[in-house]
Amino acid sequence: MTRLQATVLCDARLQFRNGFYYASLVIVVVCIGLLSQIPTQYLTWIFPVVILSNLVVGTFYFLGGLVLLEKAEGTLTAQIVTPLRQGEYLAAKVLTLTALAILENGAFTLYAFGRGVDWLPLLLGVALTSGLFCLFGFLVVVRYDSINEYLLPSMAYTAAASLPMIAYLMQWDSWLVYVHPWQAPLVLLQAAWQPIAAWQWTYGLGYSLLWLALLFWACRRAFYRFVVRV
Amino acid sequence: MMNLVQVFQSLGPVDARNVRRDALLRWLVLAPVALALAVRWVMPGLITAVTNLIQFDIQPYFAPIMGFCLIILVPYLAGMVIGFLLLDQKDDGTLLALRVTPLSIESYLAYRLSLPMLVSVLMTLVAAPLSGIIQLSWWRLLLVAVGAAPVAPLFALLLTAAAQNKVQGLALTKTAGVFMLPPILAYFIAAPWQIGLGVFPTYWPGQIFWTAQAGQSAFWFYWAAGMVYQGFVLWLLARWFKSRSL
Repeated sequence: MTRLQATVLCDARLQFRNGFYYASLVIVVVCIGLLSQIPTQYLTWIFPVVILSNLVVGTFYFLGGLVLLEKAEGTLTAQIVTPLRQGEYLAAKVLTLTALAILENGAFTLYAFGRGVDWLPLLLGVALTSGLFCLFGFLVVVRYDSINEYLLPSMAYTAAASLPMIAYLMQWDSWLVYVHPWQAPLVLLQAAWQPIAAWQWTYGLGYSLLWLALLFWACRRAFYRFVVRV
Repeated sequence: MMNLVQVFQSLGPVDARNVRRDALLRWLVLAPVALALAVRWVMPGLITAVTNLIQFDIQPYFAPIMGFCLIILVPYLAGMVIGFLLLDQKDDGTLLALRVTPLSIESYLAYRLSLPMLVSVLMTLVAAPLSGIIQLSWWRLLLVAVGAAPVAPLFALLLTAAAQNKVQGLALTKTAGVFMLPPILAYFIAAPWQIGLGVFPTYWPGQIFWTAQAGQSAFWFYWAAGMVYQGFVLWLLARWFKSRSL
């Protein structure tokens, strides 16, 4: 078994033990209950926002909790002397939480729309948003040692990341919005319900990947600065 | 056995110092104000956008729902912060250490939980007028804020009693949003059917707020019944907390 595989399994076990999967199951059940009450034509507009806001807790905060736990138990420090590379450590977290996000959001989307949704942009949008939120979550949480220091500043960070969501809800269309990293996966999510132009596809994929690479690089630097060097 | 005044005298300065150090309360004070201002600036645009989209005036529904969210969010936030503080102390063994001091666990809980209630009442009084969607005289607003304040200790105790550590607490907060739904659902359901939703403690602050906003005399019934019921659930949770944490 490779290092990455082993780390992925270990992370999944940790997440299961701490009730992440049960929490997601509850959300799926509640969302399905709610969605069955709303007519489909209103849903398409609100759905990208439901998915995005649901992702914030499942990725940004779940990752934050895991890192704080590993910090408190000292396993994060111990990992420095193992052969596990920083990139693999991050990748395992991103992969497990993204898989959970796809299962969770995929489940109630499948219930609400079935075949009435374009699955390729939907899954791409969920995966890219999840990846961005995971890496951003690591970048924020690595600076803190306790959940109480972290909790309230984290709300300011997630609010900043959610700005394109507000612009989308208010139908505020400006080129400025397209500079924001989270606008790119949001464009892909919208494509799940209405076709988008080729340039939007290029922008959505390209800009998301660019920011994923940037955040990944920043995370590795932050890992060195806040975990290795202290 | 120490009385509550003594508890405040001995723990108050310690907590004040902690708060000044880790900036927790400063955030708790800032967050509702930021939210109220966001509601004030974003709401009108949002309502116009939705109305254009579905050709149906949602103004009469949007403002009360958003107002309720604002009223309940402050104690909700306060409860979350205190809940994580208690989980922290459970992890560190501070609660266990308290047992050899003259301070009883009941007095400690009473102290720990009354402060967030006070803060959430004060912050609601500040944030509600700022939002621009809540029109209540100051004494009615005060009563509404007091009626919603028990949500803070309820949420804090639920979090601490149900979760074994902080990560589980985080997973729980994901599902905690579920408690926001029954009161909103109740808004759309006819009176005889909605009373079943009253088992959720969050149902009562919703009714208190809406009857106050409408100037109905049922306000007094909902306020009194809501306080009694929330107090009862609080008592149950405190017992559960005691049996699980010590």
